[in-house]
Amino acid sequence: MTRRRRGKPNYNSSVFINCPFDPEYQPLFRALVFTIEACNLWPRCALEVDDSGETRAEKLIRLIRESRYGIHDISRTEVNANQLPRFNMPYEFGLFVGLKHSIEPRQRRKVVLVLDREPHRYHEFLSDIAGHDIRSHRSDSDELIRQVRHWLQSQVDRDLPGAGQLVAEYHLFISEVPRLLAKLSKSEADLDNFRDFHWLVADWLEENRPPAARSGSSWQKAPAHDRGR
Amino acid sequence: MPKTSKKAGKKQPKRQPSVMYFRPTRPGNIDPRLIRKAVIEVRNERLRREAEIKEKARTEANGEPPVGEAE
Repeated sequence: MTRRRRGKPNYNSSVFINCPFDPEYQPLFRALVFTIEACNLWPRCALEVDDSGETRAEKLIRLIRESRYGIHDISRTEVNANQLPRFNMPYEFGLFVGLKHSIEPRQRRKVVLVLDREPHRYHEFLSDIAGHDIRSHRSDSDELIRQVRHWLQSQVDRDLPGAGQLVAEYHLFISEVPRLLAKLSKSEADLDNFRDFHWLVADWLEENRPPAARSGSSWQKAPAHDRGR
Repeated sequence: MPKTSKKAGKKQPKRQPSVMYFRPTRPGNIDPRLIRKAVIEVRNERLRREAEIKEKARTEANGEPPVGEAE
């Protein structure tokens, strides 16, 4: 079987994910990682690094600098049990937008998608982000896949798999996760490790997609002006 | 000078490396080879099940007894 050609994640293929990492959000997070990988881009997030020598802020800034695309889910910006708001997602979103306006030409090519659970909810707590591409997923993984796929399609210069195909593939993948975990003698909790989950998704797509659907990967078709960076 | 095959002027295709994945892993991560193996096994099991269902449907549509029940 012909393998998809992959290299290291480069700037034009990296998608920075800014979202909650709690168990309630996990189905949406997994759908997000799957969609990005299925569109032949690299999902990047703070969970991929566990170097204790790097502060969380340094890690975030490095990841954001290395990513052209940013997907920011602010749907869980709400008060917690102690009646305090969760500001991590808006903070990382601010870092991303700040770097986009730096003098570095590469950083100025950054593009942003903001996800929320309801349209226009952000007006009540983050109205300054008006003007960015803001879409609603209604806390539904299928809708999230559709919205992210459509947004990525508007950003890349190649045909991506259709939303219906991605949703169907995701459901098939999720249905096979228990069997995959049994083969690996692992439990559901072990998939909290981002690297393991990412490679599982990557391999699953690799082995379950017809060759035609795998053509045109982003690192093969990176814009000429960005090759070799 | 580029390599040419015995047929004059025909350029040989560039050889691709067999392993194309960049997989940074750390101690504690699942061995990527085991992940690949599990994915292939689960896929093959599914394809086998689908083929059996198709074959059963085909034989039933043709009015033949399912395989294994002929005797």
